[in-house]
Amino acid sequence: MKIKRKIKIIGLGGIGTAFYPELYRYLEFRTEKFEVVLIDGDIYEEKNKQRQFFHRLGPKAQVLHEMYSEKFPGVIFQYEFQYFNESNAIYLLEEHDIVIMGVDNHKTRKMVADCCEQFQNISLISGGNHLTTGDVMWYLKRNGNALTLELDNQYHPEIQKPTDKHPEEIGCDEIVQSQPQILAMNNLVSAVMFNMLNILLDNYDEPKVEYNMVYLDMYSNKTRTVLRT
Amino acid sequence: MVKIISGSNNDQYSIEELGTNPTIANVRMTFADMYNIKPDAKVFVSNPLKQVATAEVKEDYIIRDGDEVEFILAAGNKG
Repeated sequence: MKIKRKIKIIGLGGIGTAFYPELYRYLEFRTEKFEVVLIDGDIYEEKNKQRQFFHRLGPKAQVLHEMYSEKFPGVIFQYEFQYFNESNAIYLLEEHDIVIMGVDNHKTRKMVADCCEQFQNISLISGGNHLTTGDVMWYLKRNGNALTLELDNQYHPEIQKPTDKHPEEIGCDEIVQSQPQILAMNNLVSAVMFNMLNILLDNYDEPKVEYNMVYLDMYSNKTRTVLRT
Repeated sequence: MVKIISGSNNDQYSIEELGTNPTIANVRMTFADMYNIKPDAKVFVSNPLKQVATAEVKEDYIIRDGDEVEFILAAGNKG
């Protein structure tokens, strides 16, 4: 009987858009059976076309589900057209989940991190970027033992005590000035996240933790792994 | 030699290259643009040669030979 694993993808912006098309192809041909749940409360708009690929305007999670579910029948797809928050966390994430997070605010990162820390077995891979630099962190827990530091650790007060807004805190009349992003940087972060997922799945029960964070720089093409304790 | 680290940058310098008064504050100013170091970035120092574990330091800390000084780059907030 094939092992069934659940992958929850939170955030379908620049990083998520770069990540999931290759994810489906990758999962289709692995020996395990996968269920993928796309989670995002945002919608695709014309302005997103510069960095994100989609075949129509509308709810991101639903649109992506339409685009890929039939192409990869070996993978079970679901979607949730809602933002991850403290109320829906309890049913969106479960024990043994593999959580892939590419959101655009630390408020959500903190919520997801707090939720993951409650489980006995969980895997969280989180990517983010500034304009020309980025990073990927992972939080792994097996049988109640944390194998890595939590995301909201002492080295990252911006995640410990986020000052930005959760998407649901932004009022309808509030115009949010988007910070510019670069497609190449999103893709670089996505590639490292994908690689870390690959490493994780090849050693799922006893992951090798030689680092818990990867820093990236798109101009110098430098990367640096860090093991923080 | 001293390591100055920030994000993906990890370079070595001699103590002399860090100036006559190699405090964290002065080194922060010197490398701010080159390594994208923010004014409020936390700083952690370790010294493997002297078996000194990683600890957060203040701006008046004077860097010594063998120190590994990391200005913590904030996690990317966009995605």
